[in-house]
Amino acid sequence: MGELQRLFFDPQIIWETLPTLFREGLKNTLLLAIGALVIGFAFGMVLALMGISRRWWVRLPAVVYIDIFRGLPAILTIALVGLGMPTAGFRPFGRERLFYGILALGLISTAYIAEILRAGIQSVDKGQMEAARSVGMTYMMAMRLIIIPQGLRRVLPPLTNEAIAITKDSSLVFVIGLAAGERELFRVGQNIGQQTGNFSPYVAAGLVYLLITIPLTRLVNVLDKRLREGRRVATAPGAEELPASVEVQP
Amino acid sequence: MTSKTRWILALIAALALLLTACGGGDEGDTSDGATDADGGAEETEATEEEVTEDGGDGAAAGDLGLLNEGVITVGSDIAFEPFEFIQDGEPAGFDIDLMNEIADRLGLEVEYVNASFDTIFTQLAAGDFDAIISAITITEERDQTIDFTDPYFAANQAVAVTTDGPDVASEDDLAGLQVAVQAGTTGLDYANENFTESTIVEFPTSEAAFTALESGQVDAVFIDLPVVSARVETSENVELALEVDTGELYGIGVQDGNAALRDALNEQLADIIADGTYEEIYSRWFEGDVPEQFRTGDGASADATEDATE
Repeated sequence: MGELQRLFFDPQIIWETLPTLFREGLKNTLLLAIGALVIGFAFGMVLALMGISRRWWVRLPAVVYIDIFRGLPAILTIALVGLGMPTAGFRPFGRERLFYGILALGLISTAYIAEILRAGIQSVDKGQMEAARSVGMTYMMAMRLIIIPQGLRRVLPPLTNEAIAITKDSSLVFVIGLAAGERELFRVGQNIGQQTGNFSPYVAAGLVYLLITIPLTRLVNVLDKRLREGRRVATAPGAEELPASVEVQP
Repeated sequence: MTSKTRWILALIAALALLLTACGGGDEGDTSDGATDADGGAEETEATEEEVTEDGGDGAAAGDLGLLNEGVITVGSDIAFEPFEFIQDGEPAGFDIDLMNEIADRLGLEVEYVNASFDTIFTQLAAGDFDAIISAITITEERDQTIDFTDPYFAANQAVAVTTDGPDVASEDDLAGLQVAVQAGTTGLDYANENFTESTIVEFPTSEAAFTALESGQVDAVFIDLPVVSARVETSENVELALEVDTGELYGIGVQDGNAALRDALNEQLADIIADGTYEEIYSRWFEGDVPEQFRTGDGASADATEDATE
């Protein structure tokens, strides 16, 4: 038992690992995850709108993109972007390896977020669009002012899930090579773990991941609850017996 | 048959083909050393009598503390040409040939498990393998968690650059450059200690490091000299810039305290060097003379041992 504790929960090693984890690892993990989510949200929204188009040739590129990037393992996409692209002579970020990582993770989250947003938009009752158009709004206006705000609220929980997933996937970026200062949480933990021959630094890195992901998980639950209860308060008494109309696809 | 069902059938057929194709590939990947032993069989015949005389086969009967009876499970990061790499779906290279020869003389089959160099020591200590052979430099630090056999190779480190890259004539020229190294290696330790003015970039494999060099993502790769030499041969724009004399020796790793296996490996290693088989394996993968300490004893020239690949 003592041996296990020494190997995984050596308090001194964990304590000594934490400063590097926070200063370097956490910073880079957040940079990767937030950067990827910004890209993912921007392009995911475009793909979501393309995906609900009535014209097949508008839908097709969105469907193909989503199928490909949702179907590939994250580590493969990261290697293709971070190692393959520069080899092919396409080096938009020079040697900023983290930016290649952000781009790769962004491409992946674009596919997932597009599907989440599409589901959210389509969950809004058709009557909303019809009403908006009947008071003279254009299609795009109705989307922007009426449909998307409602749809977005409903998919906040799955969007938060995607944030958690991308935070965890950011650990795969180490395959494209990271210099000191560029290491994310996992790599920092692994480095120190190898130097000490002890797994406590991995555990320490895990704790910092949980520090990000558990609050996000709680947030999902709070959002989820508020969405449901918010509706109940807003409707007439007795309406709560009705089944929830919102079915959000993951 | 409607056109729709025909499409579905075609799709199923295509999928089935794909799956069988993948299945074939997998077989190659699992790198079962049993089939590999054929390659080493030829040169074994000549020495077989001697081996039995030495009681080499008897050693196999003793308890070597192996994971599986009659099989030695060997961990290796098989991405380190010319020591270990995948050739035609099978592990190949100097380390692999040497290990096959040793196992053959011990009457054991070899099973190679492809591992990440990063974690190979902890995996050995955790009991995933009986031994590890992976161009592993013997260091005091590593010797604390595992046991090493006698050295079987002398290797220096080297700096590789691209032909159109910066001129590196001395270690000082690396200042300000981005230098790729493999994570968890002695090269990394050396670089961290000595190339303090450079940005050290860690890659999980040597191949990824060279890919980054060739694509211009780093300025130089710092890694074992024979690996640089092998890459220079296969790559159009990589060249050897600088040899760094670190006096490193490779050993085979066994679990801490498994003296029976270590002694058995040492015994065979000594025989392989003494009867000239080592030279024969060496010449398959490297040019030039075998370093003195690994020669058959007679006729050794006074040359230093360092120039393994010159």
